[in-house]
Amino acid sequence: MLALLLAPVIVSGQYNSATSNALSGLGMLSDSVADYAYSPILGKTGISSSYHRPFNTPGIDIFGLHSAISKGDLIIATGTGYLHHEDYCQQNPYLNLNYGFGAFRFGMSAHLAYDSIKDEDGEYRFSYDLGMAYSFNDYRAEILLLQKGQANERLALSLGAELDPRVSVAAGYQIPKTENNVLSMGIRADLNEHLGILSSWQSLQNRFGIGLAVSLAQWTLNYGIRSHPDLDYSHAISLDYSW
Amino acid sequence: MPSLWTTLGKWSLLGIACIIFGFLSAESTQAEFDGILELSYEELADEEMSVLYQSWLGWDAAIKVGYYYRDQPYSNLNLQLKTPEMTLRGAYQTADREISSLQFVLYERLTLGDFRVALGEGLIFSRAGKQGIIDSPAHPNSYSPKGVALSVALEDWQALGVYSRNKRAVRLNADKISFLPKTKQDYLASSMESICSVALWRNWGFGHTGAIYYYQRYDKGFYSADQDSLMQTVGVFARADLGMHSLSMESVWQASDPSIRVEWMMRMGKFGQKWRYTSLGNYQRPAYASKAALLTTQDHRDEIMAELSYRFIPGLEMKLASVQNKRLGALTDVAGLSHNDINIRAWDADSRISLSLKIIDREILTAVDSSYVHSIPLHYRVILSGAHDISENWWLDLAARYHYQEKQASLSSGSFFRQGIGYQIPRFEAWMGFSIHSSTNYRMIVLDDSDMGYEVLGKNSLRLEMKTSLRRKNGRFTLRGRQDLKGSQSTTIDLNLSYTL
Repeated sequence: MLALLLAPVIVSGQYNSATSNALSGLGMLSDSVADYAYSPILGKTGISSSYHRPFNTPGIDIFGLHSAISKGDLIIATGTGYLHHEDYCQQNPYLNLNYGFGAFRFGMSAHLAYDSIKDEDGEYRFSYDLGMAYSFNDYRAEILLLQKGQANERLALSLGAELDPRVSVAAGYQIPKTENNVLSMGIRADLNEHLGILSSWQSLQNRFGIGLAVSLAQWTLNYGIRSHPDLDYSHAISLDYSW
Repeated sequence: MPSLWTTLGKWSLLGIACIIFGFLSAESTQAEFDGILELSYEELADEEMSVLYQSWLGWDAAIKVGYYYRDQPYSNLNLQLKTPEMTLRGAYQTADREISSLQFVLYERLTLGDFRVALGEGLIFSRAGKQGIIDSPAHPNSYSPKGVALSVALEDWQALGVYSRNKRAVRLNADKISFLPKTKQDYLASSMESICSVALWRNWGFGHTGAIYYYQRYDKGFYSADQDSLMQTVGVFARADLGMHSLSMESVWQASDPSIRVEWMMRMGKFGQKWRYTSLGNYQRPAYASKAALLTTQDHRDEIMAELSYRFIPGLEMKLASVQNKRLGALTDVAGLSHNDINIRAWDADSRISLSLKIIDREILTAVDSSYVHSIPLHYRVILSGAHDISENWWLDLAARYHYQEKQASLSSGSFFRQGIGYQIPRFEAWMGFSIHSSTNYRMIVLDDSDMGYEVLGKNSLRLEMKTSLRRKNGRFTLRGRQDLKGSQSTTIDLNLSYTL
């Protein structure tokens, strides 16, 4: 019963990929195509399968499969997350297009979310994300309009810098339509070519995230864990292949 | 009322698709018209049989064995043996009961056993291409004529005679036939169907003209006053292939009021079009005729279908299609139906994508108090499919559809999403992916490559899917599995083995 009550909350306020779980949704620091679900201007290509166990809640599993291909400067991405529970189901398939033009990248994602309780009263909701990024030397700025058309619509501003070829930092500020603003910060440090550490913090609610990225050639295994002030840790793992 | 932003977003999505198409350019692999309807699936299994036997045309012997594991498992076998003098085709299927079909063709003239007839525009038998033919047997689960057919040609003249007697399952009401199933089903009652037909036509080099007589009788009467157990029909048919144009027609008379179907098809470089007009007067559909009108089974209807296709550049093609159907002579007919389709397809050396929008009129009868209210709520479908070769051996594919249903009675919207990754090397292919369907109480029909040609999805579920095929010399082995991870937890496995000599 607790799981059923938690399910809609999980869907609206949670990042399901391992990297976004570890980075509190700061897509600027992510190289996993699973994060097209949260950022329309990721600019990466590959395939990613993910598993997320939010708040370590028994009975709630969220699976994801995402992929992105490039046609010249254009990247086309698609994927979905699927929340599986005995009495509740939720999915969020999307189609993304992002285009790099000089120092700019523009992107848009269209989402068709669906949820139903006990296979009844199924409801579809359409929303979309818009985004623009600008890169200058080692710095990058992003502006995103996320989940437009939904109750959790928000504007997200991010700034990032590459302090070292192996260390990147970013800060984000989210302005939701209905709730309080959220500040987040993250860091990605690649210890060597095979191992990276990801960490983040966000305000309101006060949450920390940390993760590991283990790479071998084009394969990457990501693991992310994220805290919550009241609930148990959320765990996510994903396997990525990039091209 | 959706907000301006939501509306803008939907149009932007369409813009995304258009931009995607704009970036893809190369040569096409298919250019023929295909059907625009999604609602007509009763003949898909028979079409699968036609495709199978067509693929065996050049072989002296061929066999295909299939096993389908599901809630009610079944297996089937198809066989063909061919010599210059004769051809033997057979099919056998076991499920809850055994069914079979057998065809013996002598000198490509005399056919004994199960067969299909394609002639004219489909108002009496199934619709023919350029010439009337005696075709291979139908899917063993479908009824088809059973008896003898003779085709004779003398110079420019050709004649076809058909005699069939078939015991068919029926549902009775007051000892009269209330329902005559198209597929073999277990009903307690049956009726003997007798069919006799003779057709004669003359070939003119550019086409043909001919006439047909058709007789059909059931040994039981029909419950509906609109159907008669004894039917006699005469008809004329003609076809002309004039370079880029093809014209064809068929007209039939039953008791009164003739019915007619006329088609004009044109293909000219980048542009193609097809127009079809069907007017059904007092028309009772013969047992093995094509579906006369695409959108309804009623007679006294008028139907116009138009398909247009245009290839903008190599690698980018658009098709528009529309069907309008209304009752004859009803100027203010509220029961007029339409089906509209826009399809954009783009491809290049390593990518294929197709996007369709279909707007479909579906008649709904809603119980209100003690009567029924007729309505046609808004129903549209968005269908997206695509594939991309990541490398020489690997590819990604995607299929998605969304069926919007304006809330009416118990109907609801539905969606289907499938994504997968495949690997191929010469003679071997493997694919793995998952699919989600969320259709609540809506039965969604999705085309697939099973022997029935489609599957019916209901309720919500997540499935893991895999498919593999292996070719070696003249043999081919395919295995497909689907595991439901939610709800029924059911497993389906399709196993096929074929060999040709």
